[in-house]
Amino acid sequence: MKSRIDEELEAIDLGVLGLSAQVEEALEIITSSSSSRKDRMEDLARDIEDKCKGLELSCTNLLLRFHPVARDLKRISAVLNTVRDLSRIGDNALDFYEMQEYLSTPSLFVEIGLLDMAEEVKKMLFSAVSSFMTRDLDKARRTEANDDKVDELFRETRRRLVELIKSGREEAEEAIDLVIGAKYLERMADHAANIAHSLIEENGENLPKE
Amino acid sequence: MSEKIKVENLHLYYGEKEALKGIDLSVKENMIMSFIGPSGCGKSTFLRCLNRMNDLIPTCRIEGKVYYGGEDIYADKYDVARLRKNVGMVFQKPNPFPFSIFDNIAYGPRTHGIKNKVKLREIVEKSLCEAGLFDEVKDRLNSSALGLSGGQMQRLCIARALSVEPDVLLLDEPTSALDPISTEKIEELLLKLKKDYTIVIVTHNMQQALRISDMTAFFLLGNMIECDDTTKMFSSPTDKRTEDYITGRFG
Repeated sequence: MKSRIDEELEAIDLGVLGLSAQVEEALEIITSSSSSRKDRMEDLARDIEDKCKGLELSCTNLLLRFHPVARDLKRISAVLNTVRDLSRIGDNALDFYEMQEYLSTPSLFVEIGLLDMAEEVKKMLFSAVSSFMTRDLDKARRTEANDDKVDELFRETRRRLVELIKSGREEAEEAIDLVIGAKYLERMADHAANIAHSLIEENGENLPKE
Repeated sequence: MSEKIKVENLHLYYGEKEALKGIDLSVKENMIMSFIGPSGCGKSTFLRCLNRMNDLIPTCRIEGKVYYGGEDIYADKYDVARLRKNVGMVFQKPNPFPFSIFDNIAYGPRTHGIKNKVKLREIVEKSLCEAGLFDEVKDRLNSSALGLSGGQMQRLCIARALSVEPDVLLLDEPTSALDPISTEKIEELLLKLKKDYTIVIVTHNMQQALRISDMTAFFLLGNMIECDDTTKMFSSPTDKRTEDYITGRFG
């Protein structure tokens, strides 16, 4: 028979799963060209914020009522960190989306490599959440290591943006917005790596983050 | 910190039933050690071994060694009265004598031969001050101790134990019968006393163990499963049975 705390931890896990699905949807939106993006993105941003607050409250209540220790306390701490990172990814996705809306040359998004970066971030997020939910330490370590790949893509994007500026093309004016967009994606990857790292820390390993 | 009490391979039997199975433990001086475990695991029985209170139980038999100050307290001709002076005990239910507050505290010193009234007065005041009770009762030392509140009675019992100048205090669930405010006062008192005394406490309240103890020992079915730094035990216990107990999966 499950204890009460096990039942509540399971409910929180389901909440984290739901939250991560919404954040993944936000990333899907920034990589798609659907005309219904705007309404959906605004709704998602609100839902993500509400869900994060709800999960933080659930964790706090659990701490208050059960005074958990050992593995339960570590799990709740990891969940709180994960919720925070998912919230930040959601914020960055919204910021990126708003930047996209102002682009007058959407093809640049592909040309300078932002689409590749965004796809890689989506994979990282999926892998990070999957490892967190299934307690798969190996997967978590691989996910954390993938942050290097996104960092490399960021450097490539930056190089292409420099080339764009030097070319004197009319679209070069948008380079500033695009570099900010690339930074948002790079930060999202960092947060996904943090989620993987939370699982590693929960299991008593404290690998230094690069 | 030097070792105050050392227990080696202690077995205890109530008749044929083995209640404690090969306990090894070291209690360092000026620390608070908690004993935790489910009901019936042997933690109170083990606590009573440390000042030979189990001698009062006819069917009780002990094997192994308990060293206090380097001497085996179960050796032949060991001075048990001196042991119980040096290793004082406070019980779960406050048990003041049906005397005045003053006489409750003075009882122990009088028993040990102190008759001088000035000296007794000094001892009573010092003990009550140490127990954080003096200011509350200084104007009614001659009134009955039975008129005190539960929390005050328990502090009186601690003062009574302190009056004979022990260096170890054993407390068996000292706050389980008290309200939260009284509990907090007793915990603060124990933290203050730690600098001068070595304290061993049996508790069912794991948050209490976390709040006040330096080391915690977990008992189960007569065995001591694990003994470690309290913070470490409650964050990363070594034994799964310990983790299952402290996370409430059983017990």
